[in-house]
Amino acid sequence: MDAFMTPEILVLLMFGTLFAGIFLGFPTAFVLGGVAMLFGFVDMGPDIFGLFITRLFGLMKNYTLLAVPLFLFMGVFMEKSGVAQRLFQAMHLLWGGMRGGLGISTIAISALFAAATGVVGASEVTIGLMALPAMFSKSYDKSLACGSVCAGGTLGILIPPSIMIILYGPIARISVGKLFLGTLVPGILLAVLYMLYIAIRCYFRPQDGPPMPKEERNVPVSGKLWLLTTSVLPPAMLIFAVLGSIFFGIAAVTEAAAVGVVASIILAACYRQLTYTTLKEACIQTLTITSMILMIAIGAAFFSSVFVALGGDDVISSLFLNLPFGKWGILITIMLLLVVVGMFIDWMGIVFIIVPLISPIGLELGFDPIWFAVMVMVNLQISFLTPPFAYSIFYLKGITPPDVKTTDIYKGVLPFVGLQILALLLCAAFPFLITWLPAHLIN
Amino acid sequence: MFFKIIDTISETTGRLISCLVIILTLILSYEIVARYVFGAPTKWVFDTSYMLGGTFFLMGEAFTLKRKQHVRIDILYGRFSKRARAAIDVFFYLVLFLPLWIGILYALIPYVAFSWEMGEKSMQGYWQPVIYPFKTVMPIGVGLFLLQGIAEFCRSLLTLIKGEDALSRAKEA
Repeated sequence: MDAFMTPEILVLLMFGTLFAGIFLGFPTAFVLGGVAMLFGFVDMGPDIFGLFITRLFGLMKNYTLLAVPLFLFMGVFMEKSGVAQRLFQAMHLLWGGMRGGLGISTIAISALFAAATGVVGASEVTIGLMALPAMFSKSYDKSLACGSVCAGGTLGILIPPSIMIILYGPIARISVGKLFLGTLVPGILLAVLYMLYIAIRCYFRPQDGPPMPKEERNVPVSGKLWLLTTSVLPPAMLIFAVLGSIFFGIAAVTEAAAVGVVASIILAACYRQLTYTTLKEACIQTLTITSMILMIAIGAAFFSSVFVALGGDDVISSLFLNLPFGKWGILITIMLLLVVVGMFIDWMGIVFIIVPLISPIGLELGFDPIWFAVMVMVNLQISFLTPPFAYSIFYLKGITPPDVKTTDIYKGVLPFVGLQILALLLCAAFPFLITWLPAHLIN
Repeated sequence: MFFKIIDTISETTGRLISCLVIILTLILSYEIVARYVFGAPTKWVFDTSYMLGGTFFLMGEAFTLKRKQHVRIDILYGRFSKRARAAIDVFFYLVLFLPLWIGILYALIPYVAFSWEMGEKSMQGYWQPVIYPFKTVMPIGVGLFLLQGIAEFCRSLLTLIKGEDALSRAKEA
């Protein structure tokens, strides 16, 4: 490399090209790999392709990453099993009498569903398709209805099992099982905060979320019990089988994922939703999402190996570590940066591009690695709700009736973003919310 | 015609490969049963499972590209005209995509040939099976992916040169 090409200039150039490509709309995965090739080739010549092959093969024989297709596969069956519809009916009866009861039900199902799937899209759409018409027909405030579906759906990627955690673990060199445990309490905390918010808001403003009229709730106790048993119990058992076997060290994450697939297929069969077409569609959906995510992983692996070879990681960490704000100031800077970047790129971009750079900084500053990782992942919840590029809003727009304006949705997610920030502050003030479970449950 | 053949290849391999996730589920479940019910963990499941998983996603890349499932940040892209989008794609396929994957495919051939000559074995688990068949998946998967990439590139090029309707007219012809 020429003498005037200092690592600082290279970092700027590499990131500049990367973001130019991404924002012009070429697929993120291809931009990552291509930029790595351009800069790597200038530095190392054709040898760079040998390095890329090693990284590619490393991803292909990664045992932990097998959990990605398996949890996706499980999620598709959960979505198609019709269990969400039953859960919604059950929760409806349980909370319906309260002011804001439908909104609370939406969050409760989202949290349960989040523990049985690993992504945001499918569960948000499944739940939104039931919850939105239900809330609109009871003349709920439009913004509140949209906000609760968006925020609830976003929990899918935080509450374990989660595809994000499975990808984050190997990047930050932390056990995926421990990260599952670390995100469990913050995930539940968020769900509780959302429910409290809806309950309190609708208590004082019943016009935002009126209770369900008595005659609609007039179901005999035996009917209620039957509905609750058949709707809550099966997914609860599935969740317990999957997370329990990981948390108590019975099975590796990958194996637990396979158990989850079998359980979800049985569940779909019991609800009479298992057909040859469903199975075929589930396989194909799993394949495209897995290949899409893994291609970003490949591109990012190429990018980071070139970036590190050119000394870019040192430039970034000394840039942050030399900030004159102290340990907590630097953490706040990183968190704010994540919020800003999260407005424009998706969680995969952040996990694959930014996390490898900030993880060593967190370590250097002396933060507990699990705590730091979970803080970042809780922070990434915000990125799903902040426009212009916000996945959860994007999915919601696909299922809202035309009279719901985009500004209604933006107004609706705003309080939930506030609650996410509150959860982050709580996790910072009381770190045991994150660290207690991983420290005490598995070794 | 040329596009159609490539599309069909990608579509067919994708549909076939997608079933591997079922086999993956089955063998991993078998491992758990073998360990806890029969008290005899297997030697072969570990290696077989990552081989299945690696084959699954790499052989699916061409299919995923064909179905346009590789995520784009479309804040700007979505607002451009079809022709402008085609121009972006043509440029980046040419500068970033094609050189990268042609280079990797070119380097893969001696890499895999060497593995065959050595009769290379896996060093990860206890079973230590031969690894060269699994390594051979790489040039095949990358080759198919590259082929679909070339088809997408040509499609964008056609749109760029002839305007928006070029493709539909080409289909009718």
